[in-house]
Amino acid sequence: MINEVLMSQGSWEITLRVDSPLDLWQQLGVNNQIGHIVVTPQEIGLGPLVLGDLGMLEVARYVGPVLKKHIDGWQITLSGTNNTYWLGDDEGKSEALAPVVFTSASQATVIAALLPTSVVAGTLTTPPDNTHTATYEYESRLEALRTYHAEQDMEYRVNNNFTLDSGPSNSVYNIDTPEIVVTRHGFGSDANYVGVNVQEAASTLDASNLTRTVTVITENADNQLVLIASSDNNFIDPIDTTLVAGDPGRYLNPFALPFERNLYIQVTGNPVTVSGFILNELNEHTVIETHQISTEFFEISNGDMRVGDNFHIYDPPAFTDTANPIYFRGEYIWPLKMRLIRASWPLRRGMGVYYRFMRVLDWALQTYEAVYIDLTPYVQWEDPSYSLLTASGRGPVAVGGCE
Amino acid sequence: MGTLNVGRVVLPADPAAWSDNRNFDAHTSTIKGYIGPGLTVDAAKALRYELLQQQGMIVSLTYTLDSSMDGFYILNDVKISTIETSFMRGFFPYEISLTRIGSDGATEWQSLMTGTVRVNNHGLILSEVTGSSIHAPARLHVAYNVDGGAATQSTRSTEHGNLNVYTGLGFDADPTWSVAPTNFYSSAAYIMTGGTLRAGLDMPNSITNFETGNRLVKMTPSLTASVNDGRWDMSWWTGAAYNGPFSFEIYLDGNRIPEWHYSAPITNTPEAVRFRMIRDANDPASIYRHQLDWEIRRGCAFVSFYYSFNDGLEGPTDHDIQIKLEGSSTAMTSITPTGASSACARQVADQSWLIGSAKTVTVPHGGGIHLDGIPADFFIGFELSNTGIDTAESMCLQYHAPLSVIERVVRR
Repeated sequence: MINEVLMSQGSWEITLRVDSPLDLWQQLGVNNQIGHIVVTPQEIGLGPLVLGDLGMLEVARYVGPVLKKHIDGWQITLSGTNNTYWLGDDEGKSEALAPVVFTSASQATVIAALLPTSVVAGTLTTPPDNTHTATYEYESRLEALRTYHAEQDMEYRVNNNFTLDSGPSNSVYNIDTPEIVVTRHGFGSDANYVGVNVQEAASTLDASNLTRTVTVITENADNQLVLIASSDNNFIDPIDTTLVAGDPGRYLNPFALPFERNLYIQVTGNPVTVSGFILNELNEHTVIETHQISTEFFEISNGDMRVGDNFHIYDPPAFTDTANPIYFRGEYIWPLKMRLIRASWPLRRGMGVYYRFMRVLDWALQTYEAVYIDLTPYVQWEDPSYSLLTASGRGPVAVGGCE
Repeated sequence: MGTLNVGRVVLPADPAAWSDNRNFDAHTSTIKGYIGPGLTVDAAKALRYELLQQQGMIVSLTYTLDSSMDGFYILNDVKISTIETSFMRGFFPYEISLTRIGSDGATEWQSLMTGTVRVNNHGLILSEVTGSSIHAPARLHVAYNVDGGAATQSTRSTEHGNLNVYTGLGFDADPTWSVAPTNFYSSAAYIMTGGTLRAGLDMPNSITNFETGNRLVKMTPSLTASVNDGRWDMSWWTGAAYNGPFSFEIYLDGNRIPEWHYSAPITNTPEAVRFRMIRDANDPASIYRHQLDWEIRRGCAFVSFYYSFNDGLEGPTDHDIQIKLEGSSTAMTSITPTGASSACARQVADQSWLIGSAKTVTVPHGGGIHLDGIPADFFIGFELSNTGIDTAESMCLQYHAPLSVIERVVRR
C-alpha cells in the first residue's frame, strides 16, 4: 500500500511473496545503502535497460527510499517513505544546514542554498514577491524550506526524479483546471473531463471545538497573568444582514443571545507574530469540514490526478458548489472543487515494481551507476480497492484542505 | 392473460410463480416466468436484455391480475435462461428477485434539486431567473409538497396526457410527491434504439435508429439514403399530434457537420435522458473529434445541447458555430426576456421553434443563430402557447435556471 500526503513523506509498504528468492534479502539494501522503490503504472519488462535510469524515473508513478526491510520466515516486507525524505523528516533530521542569511534573496538563490545534495532544483515558478529576507540556523532543511514556502505563500513537490518544483500552488499542482470529475452516478468519458465513480462520499461538519474568541495571555515578571491580545472569529458573527424572517439564526445560545465561547492560551513570552498565532488557533477551533471519498479508480490514466491536484466531486446535497458550474456528459452540474490532500492506493497486479540502487563502477574514481532489480514477479499484489482521502479544510477558510 | 410490468419492461404474460418472504429486515419477492408469450422473437430477445439492464434499479412493478402487489421494488437479481427454444420461438425463462419498498401509500419520492443561474452573456443574474426552473414529477402524481415554500402549477399536454409541471421553486427546494406505480413511467423521459424502449445504458451503437424524448418533444437522427446525414429531427406534441419534424444542422466555421458516426447514451432515468453523438476525427480526415450531447427532461418543452470538439487546444477557442433549420433563411425575431440585456434566443415566428444560448446569440443570414467559441451550449424549444411558462421568453429564463435533479425514494 502506498500512502501519499501532500508535501509530506507519507509511507509505503510492499510485501513480497513467500516463494521469492531469498537472495533478495541481501540485495535490498538498508544495511549498506538507501535504495529506492520505483513503482510504474504498468510493468515495463526490460524497462530499465530500454528506458535507462532517467527514463524509469520519468515514467514512475511513485519513487521512495527503502528505509526498512523485514523478514518473517520466508516473507520479506519493505517499507519507507517518498522522496521528501531527502529534505528531512518531522523529527528534525536532514542533511546539515550551516547557518545561512538571506537578504532580499531570489527564489533560485534560496532554493539552491536550502536544498540538500540529494535533491536538485526542478521547475521554479517565481512568486509574486520574489525576495526573501531571513536567517536559518540550527534547523533541518525541511523545516527551512517549509518556513520559506509558507512565508511566500508557495508550495513545493519533490518529484520522482529527485527534483524539487517550487512556486505558487497553481504552478506546482493542477489547481485551476481540474480534469477529474468524481460522481456517484453517471461517470464516464467526456471531451473535457475524466469521470470517476465514487464508492463512498462522506461529509462531516464538526462544531465540537467551535470557539468565538481566542485570548492570549502570559505571565509577567511579577507572576501576574496579563493579556497580550484577543481576537474574534468573524465566522460565527451572529449579525447577518442577509437573514430574513423564518431563517435559522446564526450561532445563538439557547436564549437567542450571541454565541460566546472563549479559549485562553497561556504562552511564555510574546509570540513573534501574535495575530498570526491567534489566527492559527481560531482556525484550529472552528467548524471542521471533513470529506472522505473512496473510489476504485485512483490510478487514472498514468496518474492524471495526483496528490495536491484539485478535482471536481458532485454528490448532492453535500458535495455541491453553485459557484463552480461545469458541463459534464450533457448535464450542467455544480460540483465541489476539492483538493486531494492524501491518498492511499494498493499495488495492483499489472504495475511494475523495481528496486533502484547505486552500484560501484569504479571505486577509485568514485563512480557509480543506477541499477534496477525487477521485483514485479515477487510482489504480493493487493486488493484493488482504492481509497482516496481528502483532509478537511478549517471552517470556511481552507487551510491546506478542501476548497 | 395479464401483463406484468417490471420497470420499463412490459411482459404480456402471467408469471409462472410468485413467492414472497417477509422478515424483520425486508419483504422480498421472487417472480419466475417466461419472456416470449405475446411477443415476437425479436421483441422477446430485446426485452430479455432490458430486464437484465434494470438490475440494481428501483422499479415500479405492476400486475394487471393482482394489483395488491403493485408497488416500488429494488430489482436485486435477474436470471435469464436462454435455452434451445429461445432462439427459434423467443422463449426465455426468467427469474427475478426483488426487495419491496412499498406501495404508493407507503412511499414518497423526493426530487433532490441543485441549481443556480447559468453562466451567461446576457446579464441575467440569480434573482432574475430564480423560480423559472421547470420541475415535473411523474404524470398523475399527487401530494406535491415543497417544504417551507410554494410552487406554481401549470399543465402541459403530452402524448400520454396532461402533465402537471411546477415553477416558482427555489434552487434549493427538494419537493416530495407520490405516484401510483402504474403511472411512474407516464410521460417519462425515454431512449429508444433500434425500435426498443431501453431501460439502461448498455445498447448498441444506433446512430441511424434512435429516438429520445419526453412525450412532449422527441428527437431522432436525420437520414439521407439510410445514412446519418449530420442533422437531427425534432418534433413537439401540440395537443393532438406531433408537429414537424424540424431538421436542424450545425456548422463549424462555415462547414456543416455532414455525418455523425457514433451514438452513446449517458443517462437514462424517467426524470431525464442524456444522449451523445460523436463524429470521428478520421472520416474524412480531420484533426477534430466532435461531440454533441443533449438533455431532455420530463415535462420540458426544450432540449439542452452541448457541442464540443477536441481541437488539441486547452479550453474554449474562437470558432463560429451556427445552428439552424435545414435549408432555412427565414429572418429570426429576437427573444429578450425580462432582466436580460441581450437576446437569449431567436425565433422564426410566433408559437414556433426557437434556438437560444447562454452565449452571445447573433444571427447569420437566417434560419438559426451564430455562437462564438467552443464549447457551445444551446437549446432548441417550441413556443407552445402565448401564455405562462409556454412562451419563448419564459423558455429562455427556464434554460438559464438549470436544475440537476436526483429522484430518490423516501419514507413518508
